[in-house]
Amino acid sequence: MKGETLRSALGVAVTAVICWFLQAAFFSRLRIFGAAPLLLPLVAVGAGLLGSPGWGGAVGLLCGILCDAALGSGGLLFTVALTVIGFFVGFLGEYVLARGFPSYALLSLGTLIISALLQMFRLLVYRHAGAGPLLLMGLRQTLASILFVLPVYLCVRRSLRAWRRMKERKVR
Amino acid sequence: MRKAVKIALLVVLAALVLVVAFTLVGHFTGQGNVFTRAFQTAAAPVSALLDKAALRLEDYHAYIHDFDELKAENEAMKARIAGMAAEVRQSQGANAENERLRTLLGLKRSHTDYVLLDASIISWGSSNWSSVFDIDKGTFSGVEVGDCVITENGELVGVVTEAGLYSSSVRTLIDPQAAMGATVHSSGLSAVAEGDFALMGSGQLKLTYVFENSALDLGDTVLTSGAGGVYPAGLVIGTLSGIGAEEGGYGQYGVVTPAVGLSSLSQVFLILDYGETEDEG
Repeated sequence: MKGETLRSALGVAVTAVICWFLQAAFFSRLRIFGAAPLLLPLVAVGAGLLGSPGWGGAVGLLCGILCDAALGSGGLLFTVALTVIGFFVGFLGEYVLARGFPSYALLSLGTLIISALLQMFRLLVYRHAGAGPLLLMGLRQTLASILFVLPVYLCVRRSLRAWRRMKERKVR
Repeated sequence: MRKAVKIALLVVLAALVLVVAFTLVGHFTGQGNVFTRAFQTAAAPVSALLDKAALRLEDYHAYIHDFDELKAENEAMKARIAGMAAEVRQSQGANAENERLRTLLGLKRSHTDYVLLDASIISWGSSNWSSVFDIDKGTFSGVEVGDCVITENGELVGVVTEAGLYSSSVRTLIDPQAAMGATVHSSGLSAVAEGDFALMGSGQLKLTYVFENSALDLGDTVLTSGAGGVYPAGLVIGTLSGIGAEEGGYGQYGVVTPAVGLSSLSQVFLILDYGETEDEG
């Protein structure tokens, strides 16, 4: 039981680190649709939906720290946001939504939109930046990130497979 | 039977005497051995053929014999060439760094008050909403939050926003949160240069708080004014590449193209401390 949990945790952590590497090193120069994609929120959503609220919160915290580090913002925006989102998605997966790709895609889209809105908030309010360019960038970032929804979903699902089987056996 | 043997012996002896006689004659007349020369002439084609064959054989033998040696020599040469290529690359890098340091020396001479520290860029932030990068120097090297970052030419790069022990974060001058006191060099006009999200994508920043009737000319150099105390006066921000009217018609703004090429930046210099500017000449 401990081995399966540990194996799943290791798999999710490796997925998060790979996403961090891609986001921080690869997409700091390369742009898709004129924007760098956000990959780590997708991992947090996956862990929440396919795991549990605990998984979502823990992986959300890890991904949030990595995401803030990758963006070079030095803030806690994603550390807090992804922990909350991960936990909330885990709750939805436990009681409301079906654990499948459609739910994951929908929740990922919502998370990406929330992430973009949170990122533009400070510029909109404190720097009085024009809403047009901010929304356009938010759209580009969301579109660029959506391309990675399926690969991240498959990676997280594979990582959590052992833990899910163990949990299903326990329920029976 | 014995008679036949005697005859043969006589013939051979006679032939030998003849040969010896001809050889002696040839020797004393300087013509050499007539018989051997005749043989050599007759056998020349065959001899040449055999010689060539022998030469080939010798080459082949040498090839077989020397193969390992040549192979080792080839490997050694390849390694040497690779080493030389690496040396050339290092030399090119050192030359570039040397050039930067020479230029920096000029900057130090004109600004004797600057306490400078060189740093290399480790990574760029991947955010779409800001323009930041990390450098390899931190508080251990004396870096503090608010230290100004420039190039060896005195071009403004940005300011340190976070300082760790061994690395720091730098916010570039085009970041939407960047703002600095500026002055237009030709007219002495004071304004504020600040990052603008709409211009950040094209690598430019905005010159704001410019009065409507102020004279702004395209191509004017924009420098730091020193107002605010973060940035020393006289650092090159960039050149004025556009002029527009502010929303509502209240004044005008300028678009500034930074002097520094941010995308090609690899090494920067931090002004750890500065006082009065002492310009030479």
